[in-house]
Amino acid sequence: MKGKAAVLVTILILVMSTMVSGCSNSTDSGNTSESDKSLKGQTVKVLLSAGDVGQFNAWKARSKEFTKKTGIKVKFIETPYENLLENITADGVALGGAYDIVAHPDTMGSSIKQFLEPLDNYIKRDDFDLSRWPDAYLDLSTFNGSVYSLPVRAHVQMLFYRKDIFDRLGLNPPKNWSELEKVSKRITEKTDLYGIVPYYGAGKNGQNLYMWTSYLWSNGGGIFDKNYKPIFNNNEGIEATKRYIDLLVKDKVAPPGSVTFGEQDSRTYFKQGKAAMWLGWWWVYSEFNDSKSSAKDVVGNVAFTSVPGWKGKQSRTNVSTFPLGIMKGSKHKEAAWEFLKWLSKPDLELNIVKDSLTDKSPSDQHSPVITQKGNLRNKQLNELSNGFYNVAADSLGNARTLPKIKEWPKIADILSSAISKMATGKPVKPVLDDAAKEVEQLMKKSGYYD
Amino acid sequence: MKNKLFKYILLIPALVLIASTTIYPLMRSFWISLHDWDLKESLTIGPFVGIDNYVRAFSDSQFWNSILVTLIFTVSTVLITLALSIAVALLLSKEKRHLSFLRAVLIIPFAMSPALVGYSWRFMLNPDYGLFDKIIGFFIPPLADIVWLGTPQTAMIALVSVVVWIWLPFMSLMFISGLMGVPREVFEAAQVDGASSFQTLFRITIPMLRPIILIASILMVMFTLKAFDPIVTLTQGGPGDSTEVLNFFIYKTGFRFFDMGYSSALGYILAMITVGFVIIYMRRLAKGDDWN
Repeated sequence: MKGKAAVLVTILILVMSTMVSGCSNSTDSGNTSESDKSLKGQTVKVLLSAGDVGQFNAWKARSKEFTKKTGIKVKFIETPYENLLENITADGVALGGAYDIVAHPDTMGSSIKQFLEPLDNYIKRDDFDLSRWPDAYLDLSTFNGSVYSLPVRAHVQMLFYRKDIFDRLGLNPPKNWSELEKVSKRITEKTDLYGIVPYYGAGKNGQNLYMWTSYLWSNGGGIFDKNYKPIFNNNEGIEATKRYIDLLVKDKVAPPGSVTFGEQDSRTYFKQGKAAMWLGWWWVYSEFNDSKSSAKDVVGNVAFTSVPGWKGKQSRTNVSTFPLGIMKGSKHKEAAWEFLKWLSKPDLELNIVKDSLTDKSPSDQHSPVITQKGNLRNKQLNELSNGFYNVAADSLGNARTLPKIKEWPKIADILSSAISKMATGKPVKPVLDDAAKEVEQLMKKSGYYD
Repeated sequence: MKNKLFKYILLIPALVLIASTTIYPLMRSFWISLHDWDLKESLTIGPFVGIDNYVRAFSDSQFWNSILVTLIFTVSTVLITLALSIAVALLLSKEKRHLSFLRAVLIIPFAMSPALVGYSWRFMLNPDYGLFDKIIGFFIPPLADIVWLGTPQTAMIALVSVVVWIWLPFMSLMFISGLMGVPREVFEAAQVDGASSFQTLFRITIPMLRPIILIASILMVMFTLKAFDPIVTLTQGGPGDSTEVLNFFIYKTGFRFFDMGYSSALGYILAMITVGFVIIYMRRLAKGDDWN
């Protein structure tokens, strides 16, 4: 009996040691230089978030021109937004090369930068001009002085409203939060629509923070002070948060379901024609006016304005990027860089948007996304869009970004959970105080106050 | 001698498979749990910290919240599933033709992917266009305005109901097969002795089902403790952290916050809880021939 056990244990140990040595060898792969290889015939695999995004569809359609010109093939792989981080992490840890280029929200940047290839050498070698993008965008792609991604997709927040409803009730688009509450109440009382549809749901990579920070920042509040001590529970923070939560809890101008909504749920609600206002990223503007994705009453009736602020104070909105970076484990880094350079061409994004506005491209390729400074103030573009990009450029001037620290995913989760709790009716101050305490402990543990 | 060795050689493929998919990841994750490894900082394991990650869990309020949520979720799910599945089994265990058809239909919810079930229920519970929400509102008007996933209590009720819905068919089939295996003579004798239906149920049926109840409850506890898809698809741990079970907390710590050492330690704590429960339960309840 003992003999049998010994034989089994010996076999097991042999198997394990073979595996361990096998695993340790595998981590060294993926570092070969490709500069001397021809790029023709190589395939660049690009990971995108799924969701029938117009700009992504336009890239897919137009990448054929890139392939024709360079001989480099491009394969787009889509994954649900919720799984993006897991997919990048799994491939990044293994240096597997499953993806050459990955699109990701800027808030993930600090977490995944170690899986990305720094682009400094490529930028320097090819004299690639970064100044085409606003500094705020570039800053979200830069860590420890190195650029890790290019902000070819970026968003500014705007307030979208149903022009037909506003006209019918003789309302003007709100310029501050108190006007927003007034028109919301009026719309909720006089029509079968809710005034506004926010998104308070927990999780979903902290989507419920963006509208909250617009309230917070425009009231002179903030998440941290300059020493990274949480200040979102100070007087300005409490006042701003109460006002934001009261849309649902006290004023009841938001649908009850918004307590569970993520950004997409609330957008869908607006597209169904059940709410008169929606605050969020500008890229959805083309969706709102697309008959394939919005209700009949909504299409052609959606107008835009800048995000409101507090009366007498400056409006401050969010800016967010969805940049593209090259994976460290990529086996085709040079080809990937060529594709990134092509995607960054000012003419490409300009043409995508112009073709959307003039209906030259199919509706699933419509995109309003402009990231480059030269294009934002483009006269023809602003004429075609009724000044949409001028409004966006103005908002961009006052915009802020969420903190770019490696602890952010955890902090975003604490704040997202707190907002969700308050939206269920929990009192604002104690919940914010608890969240601040938790954030402070986390920052202390990370050595911020040493 | 050659023959003796040959059977061990035949075992090698199975051993390779088990070692690569179970033993190696288990050993590796235990090793990681003894280190401070922040994946945001480095691709390689950080410094050795001994049992610090395990100690850290006990002073972490989020960990204790997830333990409480897990306890409420597990106890409610297991008790409701067992009670309902015994009731369903009692209804469907007769040997009649139409019942055998119903028994086959019963398995359908179990055959569906848990993630798909979660998404479907999320839609069905939507306060604006959800089918379930409308049905409830029609039959019980005071419940029409409830946002099921919008408050901590109703979100937990919804989550427990969905997990019960997933596992009820499987558990019912276990009890049906158990009931159909009980000799009819016992029930006939009870009838002759003048036992009421209530007495037959509690004095004969349930005691005779004891071994199956034991196995079913152990399985149900394990299935519930590792439930993940319904939480991700239905509530994402919310509202707030009211449905954040330990399993989801481990996933968040590892794959959202990249705190791999702590996440591995939490994984081991969950494994210890599960194994501990099974051992205690078996020792207390499995006496003698209960397993036969």
